[in-house]
Amino acid sequence: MDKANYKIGTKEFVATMLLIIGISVSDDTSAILFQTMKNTAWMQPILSAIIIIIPLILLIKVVNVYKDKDMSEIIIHLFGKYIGSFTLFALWVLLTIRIIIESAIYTNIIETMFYSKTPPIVIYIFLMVVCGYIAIKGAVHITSIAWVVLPAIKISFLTSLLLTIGYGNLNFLFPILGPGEKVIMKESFLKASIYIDFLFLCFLLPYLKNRNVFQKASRIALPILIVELAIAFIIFLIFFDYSAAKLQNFPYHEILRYIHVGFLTNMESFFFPFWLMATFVRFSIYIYINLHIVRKVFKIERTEFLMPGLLALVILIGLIPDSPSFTLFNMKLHYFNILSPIFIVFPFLLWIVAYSKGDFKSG
Amino acid sequence: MGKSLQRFTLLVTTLLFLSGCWNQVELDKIAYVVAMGIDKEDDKIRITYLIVNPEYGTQPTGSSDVEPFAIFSFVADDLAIAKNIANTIVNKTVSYYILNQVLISEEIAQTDEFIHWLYDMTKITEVRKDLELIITKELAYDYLTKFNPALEKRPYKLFREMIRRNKESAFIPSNSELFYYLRITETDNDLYLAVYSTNEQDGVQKPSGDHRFHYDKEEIKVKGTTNKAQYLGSAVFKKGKMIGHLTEQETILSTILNENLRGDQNIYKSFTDPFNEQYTITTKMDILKKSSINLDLDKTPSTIDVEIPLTISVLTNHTMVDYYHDEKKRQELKKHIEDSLQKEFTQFIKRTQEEFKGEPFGWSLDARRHFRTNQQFEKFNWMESYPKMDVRVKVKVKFGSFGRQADVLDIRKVREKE
Repeated sequence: MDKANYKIGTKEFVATMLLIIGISVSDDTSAILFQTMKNTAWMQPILSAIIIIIPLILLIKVVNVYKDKDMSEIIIHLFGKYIGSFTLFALWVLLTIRIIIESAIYTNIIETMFYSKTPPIVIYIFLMVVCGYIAIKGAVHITSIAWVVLPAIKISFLTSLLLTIGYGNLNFLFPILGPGEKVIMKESFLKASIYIDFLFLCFLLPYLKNRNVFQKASRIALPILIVELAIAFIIFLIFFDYSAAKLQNFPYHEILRYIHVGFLTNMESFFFPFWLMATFVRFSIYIYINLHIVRKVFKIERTEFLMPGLLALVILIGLIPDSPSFTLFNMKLHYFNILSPIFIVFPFLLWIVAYSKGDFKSG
Repeated sequence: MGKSLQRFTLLVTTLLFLSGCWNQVELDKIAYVVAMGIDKEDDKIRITYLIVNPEYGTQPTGSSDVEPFAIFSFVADDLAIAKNIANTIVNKTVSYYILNQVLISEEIAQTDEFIHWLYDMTKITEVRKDLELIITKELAYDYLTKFNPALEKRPYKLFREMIRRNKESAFIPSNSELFYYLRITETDNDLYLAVYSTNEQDGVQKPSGDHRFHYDKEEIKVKGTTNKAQYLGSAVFKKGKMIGHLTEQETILSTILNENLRGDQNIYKSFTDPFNEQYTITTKMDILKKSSINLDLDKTPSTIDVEIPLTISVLTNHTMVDYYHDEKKRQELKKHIEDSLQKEFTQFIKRTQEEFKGEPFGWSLDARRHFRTNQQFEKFNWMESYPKMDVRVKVKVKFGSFGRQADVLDIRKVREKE
């Protein structure tokens, strides 16, 4: 799939991380958090990051030890042929489910907020075809696109948030402990899968310039993401207050429909293309990683021919849910809850097995 | 390779915009509703549309047979089906895209069902949450059919400017958009204020109402040739239902007590002149510093101490008192203003505690800081506890300017010479 021989550098990788994890402020992730964590939802990115820091460090350590292996080979080396392949297959299933749920949600966003008369299947097909096409070009290209569009997207996002100044009230963040410490801790643990893309991005290791890129990029991207997510949630809370925030499906887009710059009242049309670009980058990378895992697990060389099959699978299953606003919301909620323990435990397993094999000693 | 790839990718991504084609409607096929009226009719609602004509004023010759807007009214089950019903008669697609005023008759606002109708608004994607909710004394249909401005024929501009200007004078409440109705009703701790208006001959004051509007049409005895719709005072909502009115003076007080407002107010208020009761002194009040609201929720009853710093510019001086040179006279005036204001505030707050049993100033937000968890705050139940609280208001006046020319002539001297 990759005809180019240049590799992904740190800045492209950082841009990718910032875009695909950062874009979760603009979908219903925040709505999910407002439901349970109410006015303390802004604490979740910070606390979850603290919880996953150790798994992340362990993951980086393991990856750094096997400098010439890529992620799927590491897993097979550590867990053996059968359990390793099974683990890879399980990861593939988890990634596919994630693509299906997220793409269905984003199609729902486009449909409810922007193009209400268009049949959802048309939006879905367009979205998937575009992302699939970009995915075929290869990871290196996707990440360099991410680097190119990053400033535009982040500036437009920042502008849209700045325009909410003066509309809200800081007091909405109080009572400061919201639903209570227990709920805060439990939810931060259960929703740590906000950062799970770090794990999936490991599959792009062979395309990185060198192993250090992953470590450096994580070090730069994680703090920025924590700040970005926390501030975005704070702004949502200041603007909406938690009782209204939990009723909205997509708080960010509701804000876009409210703000205005002088006489320009309907600003959401202006911010829409930037949001779309970030969406494309996100799903292209997911689809690319998905096909990459398929290539390794099933040992198929030219996976681009599987693209239409994968896209069709995603679209058809994504359209199954009956009333997308509720079902997808709930599915994502439960999916997050299942993914989080996996994300936290998996690097530990990798590290423990690597350690017991003595691979750390030989360096 | 990189550059052409990027260009091609960009081209391909524009494919997604094709999915908007379904939603595309030509501009001249859309009927834009700028103002909407909602009245009760039997078990349904009567919806009145004020549809603007985008072609008005575009012809340089100003042909007089092009109407700037049209009123159209019908009965519907709810707001969602209303558009389809309207389109059986209105020949362009009805759109709420630039809807920015919703006029609601008092009659329906005072029913329990009102909140059910209003929530239809949240389900319509086109509706912007920053539209104004205006409660009308008469039926919204009558209000809109009488709407006939002489000077400004474009309703959109006219409505916006009217609202903006009156919020500046604080005669109508500032946080009155749909967004605030929804938020305040959902958090259920404060009262919501909507703009109150009428287009009737006799003004907003009801003959039976005991709280006097000072600038009501009857009081100011309006005459003239232009549109006489008046925006004055507020409609008070509790839990989504209208429970009463505030006069424009009370609305001014409410604006001053509410810390959360965006503060570009231009408030003018008149007091009786302490040196001659026949005259009034008109002042401009500025809130340059934030008021301090101190809640002590551990005492029983809980107390709220509000200290309001106001900078007052004295703009009239009919008794021609020498404020310029005489410090004592200034102090007397200051004390008089402080006492009058304090009395008004106390009376007003008492009214909110006894009659409305809630406050429209957003004080529950300050109260939130005193609690650690949401459960504790809900147990305290701000709405229930507020009427029992001991509220003390202290006004601190600082003088600003005394007008462009501060010194006035000594009228006694002038009259002596006669």
